[in-house]
Amino acid sequence: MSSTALRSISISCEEGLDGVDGSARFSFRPSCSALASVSGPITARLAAEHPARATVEVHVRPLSSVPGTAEKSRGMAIREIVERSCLLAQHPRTLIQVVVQALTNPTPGYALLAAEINACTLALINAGSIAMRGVVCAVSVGRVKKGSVVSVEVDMADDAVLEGGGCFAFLFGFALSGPIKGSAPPCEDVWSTYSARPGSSFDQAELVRAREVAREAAAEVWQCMKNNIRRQKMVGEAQSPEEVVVKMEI
Amino acid sequence: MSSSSVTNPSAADEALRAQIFQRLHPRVYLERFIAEKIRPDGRTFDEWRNVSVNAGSISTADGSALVRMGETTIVCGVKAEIAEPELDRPEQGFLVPNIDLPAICSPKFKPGPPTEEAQVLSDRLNEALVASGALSLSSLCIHPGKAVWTLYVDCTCINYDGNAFDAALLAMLGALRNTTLPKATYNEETGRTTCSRKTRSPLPLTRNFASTSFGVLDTSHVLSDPTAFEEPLMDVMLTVIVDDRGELISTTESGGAISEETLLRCINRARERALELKD
Repeated sequence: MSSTALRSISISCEEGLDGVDGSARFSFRPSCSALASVSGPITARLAAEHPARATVEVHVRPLSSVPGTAEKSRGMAIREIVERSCLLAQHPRTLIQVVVQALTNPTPGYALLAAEINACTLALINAGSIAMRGVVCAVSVGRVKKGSVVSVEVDMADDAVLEGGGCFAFLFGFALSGPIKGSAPPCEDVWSTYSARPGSSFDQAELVRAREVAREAAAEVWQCMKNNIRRQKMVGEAQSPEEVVVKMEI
Repeated sequence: MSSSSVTNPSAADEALRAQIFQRLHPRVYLERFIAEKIRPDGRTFDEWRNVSVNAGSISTADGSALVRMGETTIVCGVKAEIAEPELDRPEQGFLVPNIDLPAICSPKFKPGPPTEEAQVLSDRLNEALVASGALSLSSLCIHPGKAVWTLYVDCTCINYDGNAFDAALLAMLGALRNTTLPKATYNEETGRTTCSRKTRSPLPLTRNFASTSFGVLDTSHVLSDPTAFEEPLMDVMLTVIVDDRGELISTTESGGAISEETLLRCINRARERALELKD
Protein backbone atom coordinates (compact mmCIF):
# COMPACT_ATOMS: atom_id res chain seq x y z
CA MET A 1 0.00 0.00 0.00
CA SER A 2 1.70 3.10 -1.15
CA SER A 3 0.93 6.20 -3.07
CA THR A 4 1.10 4.26 -6.31
CA ALA A 5 -2.55 3.67 -5.56
CA LEU A 6 -3.30 6.94 -7.25
CA ARG A 7 -1.66 5.86 -10.50
CA SER A 8 -4.84 4.11 -11.57
CA ILE A 9 -7.01 7.23 -11.39
CA SER A 10 -9.13 7.54 -14.47
CA ILE A 11 -11.03 10.68 -15.40
CA SER A 12 -13.39 11.08 -18.30
CA CYS A 13 -15.34 14.13 -19.38
CA GLU A 14 -15.32 13.41 -23.08
CA GLU A 15 -18.49 11.50 -23.78
CA GLY A 16 -20.68 13.79 -21.75
CA LEU A 17 -24.33 13.41 -20.92
CA ASP A 18 -26.57 15.32 -23.31
CA GLY A 19 -29.35 16.72 -21.17
CA VAL A 20 -27.23 18.43 -18.53
CA ASP A 21 -24.81 21.31 -18.46
CA GLY A 22 -21.76 19.40 -17.35
CA SER A 23 -20.82 15.84 -16.49
CA ALA A 24 -17.75 13.86 -15.55
CA ARG A 25 -16.70 10.42 -14.48
CA PHE A 26 -14.01 9.81 -11.89
CA SER A 27 -12.60 6.53 -10.64
CA PHE A 28 -9.79 5.73 -8.24
CA ARG A 29 -9.64 2.21 -9.60
CA PRO A 30 -12.04 0.09 -11.67
CA SER A 31 -13.88 -1.02 -8.55
CA CYS A 32 -14.50 2.51 -7.30
CA SER A 33 -16.09 4.80 -9.82
CA ALA A 34 -18.72 7.55 -9.86
CA LEU A 35 -20.47 9.67 -12.47
CA ALA A 36 -21.70 13.18 -11.68
CA SER A 37 -23.80 15.64 -13.64
CA VAL A 38 -24.47 19.31 -12.99
CA SER A 39 -27.28 21.50 -14.28
CA GLY A 40 -27.27 25.10 -13.35
CA PRO A 41 -28.05 27.82 -12.77
CA ILE A 42 -31.62 26.77 -13.63
CA THR A 43 -35.04 27.82 -12.34
CA ALA A 44 -35.71 26.86 -8.79
CA ARG A 45 -39.01 25.82 -7.28
CA LEU A 46 -40.67 28.75 -5.56
CA ALA A 47 -40.41 27.06 -2.19
CA ALA A 48 -36.74 26.29 -2.66
CA GLU A 49 -35.41 29.57 -4.01
CA HIS A 50 -33.24 31.78 -1.87
CA PRO A 51 -33.33 35.55 -2.47
CA ALA A 52 -29.62 36.17 -2.11
CA ARG A 53 -27.93 33.10 -3.46
CA ALA A 54 -28.36 29.93 -5.50
CA THR A 55 -29.87 26.80 -3.95
CA VAL A 56 -27.89 23.60 -4.27
CA GLU A 57 -29.62 20.24 -4.57
CA VAL A 58 -27.65 17.03 -4.57
CA HIS A 59 -29.12 13.64 -5.41
CA VAL A 60 -26.96 10.57 -4.89
CA ARG A 61 -27.97 7.30 -6.48
CA PRO A 62 -26.41 3.95 -5.56
CA LEU A 63 -25.58 1.33 -8.14
CA SER A 64 -28.43 -0.91 -7.05
CA SER A 65 -31.62 -0.52 -5.00
CA VAL A 66 -33.29 2.74 -4.04
CA PRO A 67 -31.39 5.58 -2.39
CA GLY A 68 -31.39 5.16 1.37
CA THR A 69 -30.09 7.06 4.39
CA ALA A 70 -26.45 6.39 3.50
CA GLU A 71 -26.98 8.10 0.15
CA LYS A 72 -28.75 11.01 1.82
CA SER A 73 -25.82 11.39 4.16
CA ARG A 74 -23.31 11.42 1.29
CA GLY A 75 -25.58 13.85 -0.55
CA MET A 76 -25.54 16.23 2.39
CA ALA A 77 -21.75 16.05 2.59
CA ILE A 78 -21.46 16.83 -1.14
CA ARG A 79 -23.97 19.65 -0.82
CA GLU A 80 -22.00 21.29 1.97
CA ILE A 81 -18.83 20.99 -0.09
CA VAL A 82 -20.44 22.49 -3.20
CA GLU A 83 -21.92 25.34 -1.14
CA ARG A 84 -18.51 26.13 0.29
CA SER A 85 -16.63 25.95 -2.98
CA CYS A 86 -18.98 27.72 -5.41
CA LEU A 87 -19.76 31.42 -5.41
CA LEU A 88 -23.49 31.08 -4.95
CA ALA A 89 -24.19 34.76 -4.42
CA GLN A 90 -23.65 35.39 -8.12
CA HIS A 91 -26.80 33.50 -9.07
CA PRO A 92 -29.61 34.43 -6.68
CA ARG A 93 -32.97 32.65 -6.89
CA THR A 94 -31.63 29.86 -9.07
CA LEU A 95 -30.98 26.19 -8.59
CA ILE A 96 -27.82 24.19 -9.07
CA GLN A 97 -28.79 20.56 -9.40
CA VAL A 98 -26.11 17.92 -8.94
CA VAL A 99 -26.90 14.28 -9.58
CA VAL A 100 -24.32 11.66 -8.65
CA GLN A 101 -24.57 8.09 -9.82
CA ALA A 102 -22.34 5.48 -8.19
CA LEU A 103 -21.04 3.14 -10.86
CA THR A 104 -19.68 0.48 -8.53
CA ASN A 105 -20.80 -1.18 -5.35
CA PRO A 106 -20.24 0.72 -2.13
CA THR A 107 -16.90 0.20 -0.46
CA PRO A 108 -16.72 -0.40 3.28
CA GLY A 109 -14.55 2.70 3.62
CA TYR A 110 -15.02 6.15 2.18
CA ALA A 111 -13.41 5.65 -1.23
CA LEU A 112 -16.69 5.87 -3.11
CA LEU A 113 -17.57 9.14 -1.37
CA ALA A 114 -14.19 10.57 -2.33
CA ALA A 115 -14.71 9.49 -5.95
CA GLU A 116 -18.17 11.11 -5.93
CA ILE A 117 -16.81 14.39 -4.60
CA ASN A 118 -14.10 14.45 -7.27
CA ALA A 119 -16.64 13.62 -9.98
CA CYS A 120 -18.80 16.56 -8.81
CA THR A 121 -15.86 18.93 -8.97
CA LEU A 122 -15.02 17.83 -12.50
CA ALA A 123 -18.65 18.11 -13.57
CA LEU A 124 -18.78 21.67 -12.22
CA ILE A 125 -15.63 22.53 -14.16
CA ASN A 126 -17.04 20.84 -17.24
CA ALA A 127 -20.26 22.86 -16.97
CA GLY A 128 -18.35 26.10 -16.68
CA SER A 129 -21.41 28.07 -15.66
CA ILE A 130 -20.78 28.47 -11.95
CA ALA A 131 -17.82 30.38 -10.58
CA MET A 132 -15.85 28.49 -7.97
CA ARG A 133 -13.46 29.57 -5.26
CA GLY A 134 -11.26 26.60 -6.01
CA VAL A 135 -11.11 22.97 -7.02
CA VAL A 136 -12.16 20.41 -4.43
CA CYS A 137 -10.17 17.20 -4.37
CA ALA A 138 -11.01 14.39 -1.98
CA VAL A 139 -9.19 11.24 -0.98
CA SER A 140 -9.93 8.45 1.41
CA VAL A 141 -7.36 7.09 3.81
CA GLY A 142 -7.24 3.92 5.82
CA ARG A 143 -5.43 2.97 8.97
CA VAL A 144 -3.51 -0.28 9.11
CA LYS A 145 -3.97 -2.68 11.99
CA LYS A 146 -1.64 -2.28 14.93
CA GLY A 147 -1.75 1.13 14.21
CA SER A 148 0.11 4.02 13.45
CA VAL A 149 0.43 3.85 9.71
CA VAL A 150 -2.08 5.75 7.66
CA SER A 151 -2.09 5.27 3.93
CA VAL A 152 -4.25 5.93 0.96
CA GLU A 153 -6.88 3.27 0.52
CA VAL A 154 -5.92 0.92 -2.25
CA ASP A 155 -8.22 -1.95 -3.01
CA MET A 156 -10.68 -4.37 -1.56
CA ALA A 157 -8.10 -6.90 -0.47
CA ASP A 158 -6.58 -4.35 1.85
CA ASP A 159 -9.92 -3.79 3.46
CA ALA A 160 -9.44 -6.79 5.67
CA VAL A 161 -6.34 -5.20 7.08
CA LEU A 162 -7.74 -1.74 7.55
CA GLU A 163 -8.95 -0.69 10.94
CA GLY A 164 -10.99 2.30 10.10
CA GLY A 165 -10.27 5.34 8.06
CA GLY A 166 -11.74 8.50 6.77
CA CYS A 167 -12.29 10.86 3.92
CA PHE A 168 -10.72 14.31 3.57
CA ALA A 169 -11.71 16.93 1.01
CA PHE A 170 -9.49 19.94 0.27
CA LEU A 171 -10.15 23.10 -1.69
CA PHE A 172 -7.24 24.04 -3.95
CA GLY A 173 -6.94 27.55 -5.26
CA PHE A 174 -4.14 29.96 -6.03
CA ALA A 175 -6.09 32.74 -4.36
CA LEU A 176 -5.99 30.97 -1.01
CA SER A 177 -3.32 31.68 1.53
CA GLY A 178 -0.89 29.00 2.39
CA PRO A 179 2.27 27.32 1.21
CA ILE A 180 2.59 26.12 -2.36
CA LYS A 181 3.91 22.60 -2.32
CA GLY A 182 5.31 21.47 -5.61
CA SER A 183 2.97 22.35 -8.43
CA ALA A 184 -0.27 22.27 -6.48
CA PRO A 185 -1.76 25.52 -5.21
CA PRO A 186 -2.44 26.21 -1.53
CA CYS A 187 -5.32 24.26 -0.09
CA GLU A 188 -7.69 24.42 2.83
CA ASP A 189 -9.87 21.75 4.41
CA VAL A 190 -13.46 21.75 3.40
CA TRP A 191 -14.84 18.52 4.82
CA SER A 192 -13.46 15.58 6.68
CA THR A 193 -14.48 12.54 8.64
CA TYR A 194 -12.27 10.02 10.39
CA SER A 195 -13.31 7.05 12.46
CA ALA A 196 -11.97 3.84 13.88
CA ARG A 197 -13.49 0.42 13.37
CA PRO A 198 -15.30 -1.29 16.22
CA GLY A 199 -13.06 -2.01 19.13
CA SER A 200 -10.23 0.37 18.34
CA SER A 201 -9.58 4.06 18.76
CA PHE A 202 -7.08 6.70 17.72
CA ASP A 203 -5.44 9.81 19.12
CA GLN A 204 -5.09 13.31 17.80
CA ALA A 205 -1.54 12.83 16.55
CA GLU A 206 -2.83 10.19 14.19
CA LEU A 207 -5.60 12.47 13.01
CA VAL A 208 -3.05 15.16 12.17
CA ARG A 209 -0.89 12.61 10.34
CA ALA A 210 -3.88 11.29 8.42
CA ARG A 211 -4.69 14.81 7.32
CA GLU A 212 -1.13 15.32 6.03
CA VAL A 213 -1.17 12.05 4.09
CA ALA A 214 -4.52 13.00 2.63
CA ARG A 215 -3.28 16.47 1.72
CA GLU A 216 -0.41 15.07 -0.33
CA ALA A 217 -2.64 12.53 -2.01
CA ALA A 218 -5.20 15.23 -2.79
CA ALA A 219 -2.47 17.28 -4.45
CA GLU A 220 -1.78 14.32 -6.71
CA VAL A 221 -5.46 14.06 -7.53
CA TRP A 222 -5.43 17.77 -8.37
CA GLN A 223 -2.54 17.20 -10.74
CA CYS A 224 -4.40 14.33 -12.44
CA MET A 225 -7.43 16.55 -12.88
CA LYS A 226 -5.31 19.32 -14.35
CA ASN A 227 -3.59 16.97 -16.78
CA ASN A 228 -6.90 15.63 -17.95
CA ILE A 229 -8.50 19.03 -18.43
CA ARG A 230 -5.48 20.19 -20.35
CA ARG A 231 -6.02 17.35 -22.81
CA GLN A 232 -9.74 17.97 -23.29
CA LYS A 233 -11.12 19.42 -26.46
CA MET A 234 -13.31 22.44 -25.94
CA VAL A 235 -16.52 22.88 -27.92
CA GLY A 236 -15.71 24.02 -31.43
CA GLU A 237 -12.06 23.03 -31.41
CA ALA A 238 -10.78 20.56 -33.92
CA GLN A 239 -7.68 19.64 -32.01
CA SER A 240 -6.91 19.72 -28.33
CA PRO A 241 -4.79 22.60 -27.05
CA GLU A 242 -1.70 20.48 -26.53
CA GLU A 243 -1.54 19.52 -30.15
CA VAL A 244 -1.55 23.08 -31.37
CA VAL A 245 1.86 24.66 -31.53
CA VAL A 246 1.76 28.37 -31.06
CA LYS A 247 4.44 30.27 -32.85
CA MET A 248 5.43 33.73 -31.83
CA GLU A 249 5.81 36.29 -34.52
CA ILE A 250 8.64 38.65 -34.02
CA MET B 1 -38.50 61.05 15.77
CA SER B 2 -40.08 59.78 18.99
CA SER B 3 -43.73 60.57 19.49
CA SER B 4 -44.67 62.88 22.29
CA SER B 5 -46.61 60.23 24.18
CA VAL B 6 -43.69 57.80 24.65
CA THR B 7 -40.59 59.14 26.30
CA ASN B 8 -39.14 55.98 27.87
CA PRO B 9 -39.40 52.72 25.88
CA SER B 10 -40.65 50.05 28.24
CA ALA B 11 -38.82 46.80 28.81
CA ALA B 12 -41.41 44.96 26.72
CA ASP B 13 -40.73 47.26 23.77
CA GLU B 14 -36.99 46.67 24.07
CA ALA B 15 -37.47 42.94 24.18
CA LEU B 16 -39.71 43.11 21.13
CA ARG B 17 -37.17 45.17 19.22
CA ALA B 18 -34.42 42.74 20.13
CA GLN B 19 -36.55 39.84 18.91
CA ILE B 20 -37.29 41.58 15.62
CA PHE B 21 -33.60 42.31 15.16
CA GLN B 22 -32.80 38.66 15.86
CA ARG B 23 -35.25 37.55 13.21
CA LEU B 24 -34.16 40.01 10.55
CA HIS B 25 -30.40 39.98 11.05
CA PRO B 26 -29.51 36.76 12.87
CA ARG B 27 -25.83 36.82 12.09
CA VAL B 28 -25.25 40.40 13.20
CA TYR B 29 -27.28 39.67 16.34
CA LEU B 30 -25.03 36.72 17.15
CA GLU B 31 -21.86 38.65 16.35
CA ARG B 32 -22.83 41.40 18.77
CA PHE B 33 -23.08 38.81 21.53
CA ILE B 34 -19.83 37.12 20.48
CA ALA B 35 -18.03 40.44 20.71
CA GLU B 36 -19.00 40.56 24.39
CA LYS B 37 -17.73 36.97 24.85
CA ILE B 38 -21.18 35.63 25.62
CA ARG B 39 -23.91 33.77 23.76
CA PRO B 40 -27.58 34.76 23.27
CA ASP B 41 -28.76 32.26 25.88
CA GLY B 42 -26.28 33.52 28.47
CA ARG B 43 -23.70 30.74 28.26
CA THR B 44 -20.00 31.28 27.73
CA PHE B 45 -18.42 29.80 24.63
CA ASP B 46 -17.28 26.67 26.43
CA GLU B 47 -20.34 26.00 28.50
CA TRP B 48 -22.64 23.06 27.92
CA ARG B 49 -26.35 23.04 28.47
CA ASN B 50 -27.75 21.03 31.37
CA VAL B 51 -28.30 17.40 30.55
CA SER B 52 -30.82 15.18 32.27
CA VAL B 53 -31.35 11.51 31.47
CA ASN B 54 -34.37 9.58 32.62
CA ALA B 55 -34.18 5.87 31.91
CA GLY B 56 -36.87 3.25 31.93
CA SER B 57 -39.88 5.53 31.65
CA ILE B 58 -41.60 3.58 28.87
CA SER B 59 -42.80 0.31 30.36
CA THR B 60 -43.96 -1.23 27.09
CA ALA B 61 -40.50 -1.03 25.54
CA ASP B 62 -37.62 -3.35 26.34
CA GLY B 63 -35.52 -0.33 27.20
CA SER B 64 -36.05 3.41 27.06
CA ALA B 65 -34.48 6.73 27.88
CA LEU B 66 -35.53 10.36 27.82
CA VAL B 67 -32.79 12.91 27.39
CA ARG B 68 -33.09 16.66 27.85
CA MET B 69 -30.15 18.74 26.65
CA GLY B 70 -31.26 22.27 27.38
CA GLU B 71 -34.49 22.52 25.45
CA THR B 72 -33.74 19.65 23.05
CA THR B 73 -35.78 16.66 24.20
CA ILE B 74 -35.34 13.21 22.72
CA VAL B 75 -37.15 10.01 23.66
CA CYS B 76 -35.62 6.69 22.73
CA GLY B 77 -37.19 3.25 22.94
CA VAL B 78 -35.70 -0.16 22.24
CA LYS B 79 -37.83 -3.04 21.02
CA ALA B 80 -36.46 -6.51 20.52
CA GLU B 81 -37.67 -8.98 17.94
CA ILE B 82 -36.50 -12.39 16.92
CA ALA B 83 -35.38 -12.82 13.34
CA GLU B 84 -33.41 -15.13 11.11
CA PRO B 85 -29.80 -14.03 10.64
CA GLU B 86 -28.21 -13.30 7.28
CA LEU B 87 -26.71 -16.25 5.45
CA ASP B 88 -23.17 -14.89 5.43
CA ARG B 89 -23.32 -13.72 9.04
CA PRO B 90 -25.12 -16.50 10.88
CA GLU B 91 -24.01 -15.49 14.36
CA GLN B 92 -24.74 -11.78 14.25
CA GLY B 93 -27.89 -10.10 15.38
CA PHE B 94 -29.18 -6.78 14.08
CA LEU B 95 -29.06 -3.31 15.57
CA VAL B 96 -31.32 -0.86 13.74
CA PRO B 97 -31.08 2.72 14.98
CA ASN B 98 -33.45 5.33 13.66
CA ILE B 99 -34.36 8.89 14.54
CA ASP B 100 -37.46 10.77 13.59
CA LEU B 101 -37.81 14.55 13.63
CA PRO B 102 -41.58 15.04 13.44
CA ALA B 103 -43.34 18.32 12.86
CA ILE B 104 -44.09 18.62 16.57
CA CYS B 105 -40.50 19.37 17.52
CA SER B 106 -39.83 22.45 15.47
CA PRO B 107 -41.52 24.71 12.93
CA LYS B 108 -38.77 23.97 10.43
CA PHE B 109 -39.93 20.37 9.99
CA LYS B 110 -43.10 19.83 8.01
CA PRO B 111 -45.35 16.78 8.35
CA GLY B 112 -44.64 14.08 5.80
CA PRO B 113 -41.86 11.61 5.00
CA PRO B 114 -38.63 11.93 6.99
CA THR B 115 -36.74 15.07 6.04
CA GLU B 116 -33.18 15.02 4.83
CA GLU B 117 -32.01 16.11 8.27
CA ALA B 118 -33.69 13.11 9.93
CA GLN B 119 -32.23 10.70 7.38
CA VAL B 120 -28.74 12.10 7.71
CA LEU B 121 -28.95 11.97 11.51
CA SER B 122 -30.12 8.35 11.34
CA ASP B 123 -27.18 7.47 9.15
CA ARG B 124 -24.70 9.27 11.39
CA LEU B 125 -26.10 7.58 14.50
CA ASN B 126 -25.86 4.22 12.78
CA GLU B 127 -22.22 4.92 11.89
CA ALA B 128 -21.48 6.04 15.43
CA LEU B 129 -23.00 2.96 17.06
CA VAL B 130 -21.28 0.65 14.58
CA ALA B 131 -17.89 2.38 14.62
CA SER B 132 -17.68 2.30 18.38
CA GLY B 133 -18.60 -1.34 18.67
CA ALA B 134 -20.41 -0.63 21.92
CA LEU B 135 -22.64 -3.63 21.43
CA SER B 136 -21.19 -6.78 19.94
CA LEU B 137 -23.68 -8.16 17.44
CA SER B 138 -22.68 -11.71 18.17
CA SER B 139 -23.97 -11.27 21.72
CA LEU B 140 -27.44 -11.02 20.19
CA CYS B 141 -27.27 -14.54 18.80
CA ILE B 142 -29.77 -17.06 20.13
CA HIS B 143 -28.94 -19.97 17.88
CA PRO B 144 -26.43 -19.63 15.04
CA GLY B 145 -28.07 -19.61 11.66
CA LYS B 146 -31.58 -19.89 13.04
CA ALA B 147 -32.56 -17.20 15.50
CA VAL B 148 -31.05 -13.89 16.49
CA TRP B 149 -32.28 -10.80 18.28
CA THR B 150 -33.07 -7.69 16.29
CA LEU B 151 -32.97 -4.50 18.33
CA TYR B 152 -34.93 -1.58 16.93
CA VAL B 153 -33.63 1.56 18.59
CA ASP B 154 -36.07 4.33 17.74
CA CYS B 155 -35.62 7.94 18.76
CA THR B 156 -38.20 10.65 18.49
CA CYS B 157 -37.47 14.29 19.00
CA ILE B 158 -40.12 16.06 21.03
CA ASN B 159 -38.48 19.45 21.08
CA TYR B 160 -35.67 20.53 18.79
CA ASP B 161 -33.30 23.21 19.98
CA GLY B 162 -30.11 22.27 18.19
CA ASN B 163 -27.52 19.55 18.66
CA ALA B 164 -29.90 16.67 18.15
CA PHE B 165 -27.01 14.35 17.34
CA ASP B 166 -25.40 14.50 20.77
CA ALA B 167 -28.72 14.18 22.55
CA ALA B 168 -29.87 11.29 20.36
CA LEU B 169 -26.64 9.37 20.82
CA LEU B 170 -26.92 9.84 24.57
CA ALA B 171 -30.54 8.69 24.48
CA MET B 172 -29.71 5.63 22.41
CA LEU B 173 -26.91 4.58 24.74
CA GLY B 174 -29.10 5.22 27.77
CA ALA B 175 -31.89 3.13 26.30
CA LEU B 176 -29.51 0.31 25.38
CA ARG B 177 -28.11 0.30 28.89
CA ASN B 178 -31.64 0.14 30.22
CA THR B 179 -32.62 -2.72 27.89
CA THR B 180 -33.18 -6.20 29.22
CA LEU B 181 -33.73 -9.17 26.97
CA PRO B 182 -35.69 -12.27 28.04
CA LYS B 183 -33.79 -15.49 28.09
CA ALA B 184 -34.50 -17.22 24.77
CA THR B 185 -34.08 -20.86 23.90
CA TYR B 186 -34.32 -22.28 20.42
CA ASN B 187 -35.96 -25.67 20.04
CA GLU B 188 -34.28 -27.47 17.14
CA GLU B 189 -37.08 -29.96 16.65
CA THR B 190 -39.93 -27.55 16.35
CA GLY B 191 -37.85 -24.69 14.98
CA ARG B 192 -39.39 -22.25 17.45
CA THR B 193 -37.85 -19.92 19.97
CA THR B 194 -39.30 -19.69 23.45
CA CYS B 195 -38.74 -16.66 25.65
CA SER B 196 -38.86 -16.82 29.39
CA ARG B 197 -41.24 -14.44 31.12
CA LYS B 198 -39.29 -14.40 34.34
CA THR B 199 -35.59 -14.19 33.53
CA ARG B 200 -34.39 -11.08 31.82
CA SER B 201 -30.78 -10.10 31.40
CA PRO B 202 -29.24 -6.76 30.42
CA LEU B 203 -27.29 -6.22 27.22
CA PRO B 204 -23.52 -6.72 27.35
CA LEU B 205 -22.37 -3.25 26.42
CA THR B 206 -18.61 -3.09 26.12
CA ARG B 207 -17.97 0.59 25.81
CA ASN B 208 -19.36 3.85 26.99
CA PHE B 209 -18.89 6.92 24.83
CA ALA B 210 -20.22 10.38 24.26
CA SER B 211 -20.27 12.76 21.36
CA THR B 212 -19.64 16.49 21.51
CA SER B 213 -20.49 19.01 18.82
CA PHE B 214 -18.88 22.37 18.30
CA GLY B 215 -19.57 25.21 15.95
CA VAL B 216 -16.82 27.55 14.81
CA LEU B 217 -17.51 31.13 13.85
CA ASP B 218 -14.92 33.22 11.99
CA THR B 219 -12.26 30.53 12.53
CA SER B 220 -11.58 31.62 16.09
CA HIS B 221 -14.74 31.53 18.15
CA VAL B 222 -15.57 27.97 19.13
CA LEU B 223 -19.06 27.53 20.53
CA SER B 224 -19.77 24.21 22.12
CA ASP B 225 -23.21 22.62 22.01
CA PRO B 226 -24.85 25.11 19.61
CA THR B 227 -28.56 25.83 19.88
CA ALA B 228 -31.02 25.83 16.98
CA PHE B 229 -30.47 29.56 16.54
CA GLU B 230 -26.67 29.33 16.40
CA GLU B 231 -26.38 26.16 14.29
CA PRO B 232 -27.21 27.56 10.84
CA LEU B 233 -24.92 30.54 11.39
CA MET B 234 -21.80 28.53 12.10
CA ASP B 235 -19.03 28.42 9.50
CA VAL B 236 -17.68 25.04 10.53
CA MET B 237 -19.38 22.24 12.43
CA LEU B 238 -17.23 19.71 14.26
CA THR B 239 -18.36 16.55 16.04
CA VAL B 240 -16.01 14.47 18.14
CA ILE B 241 -16.92 11.09 19.62
CA VAL B 242 -14.80 10.00 22.57
CA ASP B 243 -15.05 6.91 24.72
CA ASP B 244 -14.79 6.86 28.49
CA ARG B 245 -11.08 6.06 28.37
CA GLY B 246 -10.47 9.29 26.53
CA GLU B 247 -9.72 7.69 23.20
CA LEU B 248 -11.13 9.07 20.00
CA ILE B 249 -13.64 7.01 18.10
CA SER B 250 -14.52 9.36 15.30
CA THR B 251 -14.31 12.99 14.22
CA THR B 252 -16.36 14.70 11.57
CA GLU B 253 -15.72 18.23 10.41
CA SER B 254 -17.57 20.09 7.73
CA GLY B 255 -17.28 23.58 6.48
CA GLY B 256 -13.75 24.75 6.29
CA ALA B 257 -10.34 24.91 7.75
CA ILE B 258 -9.89 25.00 11.48
CA SER B 259 -6.47 25.35 12.93
CA GLU B 260 -4.82 22.43 14.65
CA GLU B 261 -4.90 24.13 18.05
CA THR B 262 -8.64 24.61 17.73
CA LEU B 263 -9.02 20.96 16.82
CA LEU B 264 -6.88 19.83 19.74
CA ARG B 265 -8.71 22.12 22.12
CA CYS B 266 -12.04 20.70 20.97
CA ILE B 267 -10.80 17.14 21.41
CA ASN B 268 -9.66 17.91 24.94
CA ARG B 269 -12.98 19.54 25.75
CA ALA B 270 -14.73 16.48 24.35
CA ARG B 271 -12.67 14.27 26.65
CA GLU B 272 -13.63 16.34 29.70
CA ARG B 273 -17.22 16.23 28.62
CA ALA B 274 -17.17 12.43 28.23
CA LEU B 275 -15.92 12.13 31.79
CA GLU B 276 -18.63 14.48 33.04
CA LEU B 277 -21.30 12.50 31.27
CA LYS B 278 -20.02 9.19 32.57
CA ASP B 279 -22.54 9.37 35.35
